[in-house]
Formats: sequence, C-alpha cells, structure tokens
Amino acid sequence: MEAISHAGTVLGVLAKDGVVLAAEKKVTGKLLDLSGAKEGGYGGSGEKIYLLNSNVIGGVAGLTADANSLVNYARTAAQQHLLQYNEDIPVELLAQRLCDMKQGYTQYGGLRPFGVSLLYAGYDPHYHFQLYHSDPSGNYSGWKATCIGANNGTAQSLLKQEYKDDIEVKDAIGLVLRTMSKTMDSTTLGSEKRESRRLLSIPVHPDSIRASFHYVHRLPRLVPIDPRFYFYPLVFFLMPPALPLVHPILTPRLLHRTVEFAVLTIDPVTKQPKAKIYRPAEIDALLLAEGLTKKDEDTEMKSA
Amino acid sequence: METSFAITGKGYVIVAADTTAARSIVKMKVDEDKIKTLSPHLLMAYSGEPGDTVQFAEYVERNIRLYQIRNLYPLRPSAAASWIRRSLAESLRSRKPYSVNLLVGGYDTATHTPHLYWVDYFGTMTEVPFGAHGYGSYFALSLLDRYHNPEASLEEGLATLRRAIDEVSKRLVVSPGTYKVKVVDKDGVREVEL
Repeated sequence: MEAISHAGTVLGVLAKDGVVLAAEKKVTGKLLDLSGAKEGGYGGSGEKIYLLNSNVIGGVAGLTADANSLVNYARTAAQQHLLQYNEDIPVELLAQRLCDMKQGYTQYGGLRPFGVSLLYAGYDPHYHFQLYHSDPSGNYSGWKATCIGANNGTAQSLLKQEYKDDIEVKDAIGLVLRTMSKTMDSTTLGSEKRESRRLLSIPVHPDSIRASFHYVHRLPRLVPIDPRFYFYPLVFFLMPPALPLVHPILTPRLLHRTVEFAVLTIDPVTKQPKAKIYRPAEIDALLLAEGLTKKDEDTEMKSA
Repeated sequence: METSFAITGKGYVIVAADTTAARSIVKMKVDEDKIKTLSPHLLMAYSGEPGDTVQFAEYVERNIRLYQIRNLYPLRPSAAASWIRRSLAESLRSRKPYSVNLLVGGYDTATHTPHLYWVDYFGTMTEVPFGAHGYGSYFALSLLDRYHNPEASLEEGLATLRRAIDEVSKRLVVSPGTYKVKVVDKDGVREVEL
C-alpha cells in the first residue's frame, strides 16, 4: 500500500462513448534507453499502461515487477476465456479473476501480497464501457472516474469537481490531461521555485529525491514543483540562477516523457472495442492540442 | 425416428423436438421432453445415442448453471454454444465419446438478438437461421429454405414450423407423431402448443 501511494499516478475516466486512461511515469532519465518504446508493439512505453485483452486496457501503480506478473496473469486469464467461450472476457470478470488471486496472497503465511493497484478500462456487451479499480488486498470497485498512485486524493477531488455524467471521450481526454498536469505539479512555475530548486538539487539517491519532493510538497505556500527538477537535479544545481530555470535545450518536450496515455472506444466500422495506447509523438500532439505544453513553456519563459 | 427443428425469427428462436423415446423398432415412450432449458434465455434440443443424450445434456445444464452462480452474468448464447461445442470436441477424442447432436437456441440479453447454433457429435458448430437434425431434416431443410423469413413474427414462424412438421409426417416412413415446441425470446423460455 505504501509503495502504491508513492507510485506514478494513474487516472481513469469513464465517458459515454469510451474510457480514458493516463499514467505518470516515474522511471525516466536522460540515460534511460527509450528507443524501444518509440517503435515497440502497440504503442506506449509499456511501463504503466498495458493492453490486457482486445477489450481491456490496464493501468498499474506499485511495484513494477509485481505488476508485470499480474499483467501476465490477466492476459492469460483473458485468453483462457476466449479459448473456452469464444468471446472477449467481460471486464468485471477479468477484474474478479485477478482479485481472486490477489486475495489469496493476503490469506496465507509466508507470502507477500502483490504491491500493485490496477485500473481496468474496458468494454463488454453486458455493461458497455466500464472502469474498475483493484487494490492489493483483492478488493475491487467500479468507478466513473478514479485515480491511483501518488497524489490520488488531490486528483480524485479534482475529478469529482469536474466530472459530468454524460461526458464524451473528447472531453474526457481533456479532463484527464488537465487533472494529470495538476497532480504532477507541472502547471505554472512561480517565483518560489528557486527555493524549491535548492531543496530538490541536493539528493543523489532516487529515494531521497522522492523524500524531499514530498517534503517540499507539504510546505505551505510553495508553488508546485515541475517534475523536471526531479529528473535533472544536477543540471539545475549547476545552472546559474539567472538562466531560465527550464533550459529549452534540455526540455525538448515536457510531458511526453512522463505521461502514458490510452483510450478505449468502439470502432465505428467493426463495432468492436478498439484500444489505442498513444505513442510519445501522439501524446505530444495531444498535449499541444489541449494547450498544455504550450502554456507551460510560455510561463517558463516569462518567469525566466 | 428422432427429429428436431429450430428456426429464428424477429426476436425469438423456436425449438421443436419429437417426443418419442424408441429402442430398436419399439416406441418406449411418447411424451419425452428432449429440449433442455439451460438458462432463462437458452434452450438446447438434443438427439442421438439414448443415454448419451441425457447424460451429456445434464452435464451441460449443470455447468451452465454453475457458471451463472459463480459469475456475474449468465453465459451468452454464443459463449454457451462455444463451450458446448468444445466439450463435444474434447469428448470425441476420448475413449468413449458422446454421440449427441444438438440445436442450441437462445436470446442474447446483452445485444437483444436471437441466436441459433447447429452442433453435431463431431464438434461441428455453425450459426444458422434455421436448422434440423435427424431424418426429418432431409425434408424440412429444403422447405425452410423456401419459407423461412428472419423477420417473421412468432405466429408466422410457428406456421412455417407447422409446415415443416406436416411435410415430415407426410413423406417420412418412420415419422414421429408428436412434437414439443419451445420458444425463447426477450421474456425468456416458454412452451407453446402447435
């Protein structure tokens, strides 16, 4: 449970004609080789959003290794259902399958439960579009909009304010990205950032970065911190204060490195559920369209 | 000899099976129900080796029921038919295969459509607008080819079925006397008199 509250945020919003998932990646860095993610399979970097079956997308928060094992289990369960009944597994049934297993690990001694929360965004003919959440203890519940991982309380209350019952996918995409950019503390940078920069440039070990990150976050009247600080602490440390805090060369694109994004809709031609996990370039385009990247850069430049 | 028919129409499936239980040349029983109600919206007519038929039908019935208790939703007709087909196909390669032919008809409450599946003891399955098993099928299929209408109302559907049954009675030497007819639609399963 503790690991999950520190994990990258995963947001899900259920719309009338689809489901939208977005996730914040935590494992990033200049030296991490992401070339595979650009070409790879069905899109996405495969860190937090996975295709579980042709009608279900999963978003994970928690221990990555545990999550991989659960994703594998989910895909197997979905294919077994397909083999046995020649139909896509109903979404709630898939959530139930995983929860049955997760519950088992809370009951027997000597085994550690899976440190993973999941969001399932899916479609089936019984209940059409659905969004479920499951936690390590094996509880699951259906949601119209929900969030797991770091800052999930903040995100949840934002979603609560902005969610409308008959929301459509195109609006849900905007809602998800806006909420995401707020919870990631990457909106506007205020004047106090020098202060926060100092705090954030100290750590060396990733865990201590995280610790200070949260410490800063709790201080009153401190403007949210740009996640870039988190990724390039040394750069900022070395930069003279007069330089723009966010160096244009160092931050070619802000969010695409840190966000994964996926949408499940119905294909108008085949009438079958269609999962789309966005590639980095597509996320960029989307953010630009939503006016989220632009705005960030503008304020950054102004504040410099 | 054993004969069963099924036809789909607008929002319903009619399943009919003769009611004779015969052994060799002797009729043992004339009011045998050979159509099982697997779930509130699913019917299955079975024919074939006596003994195997009842055994297999009950096995299917219990498993479909179990799925319904265990899971959130009952199996949809296509999923149920696929499961039944698989059971037969696995049985075929076992030491003692079931020799049972089936017509599985149901109303899909998720998509609001009627479905009919023709299944034989080899594990063949096809979705059909109308189907038949047994000697009666040789006469009924051509007739249904001519008169079947997927948009027909229940009355028209029953009239077509009556036509098929009359044809079989007229032409088949060993025609069965009586039939049991069941209908499945959005309201579930019910028996009708011809």
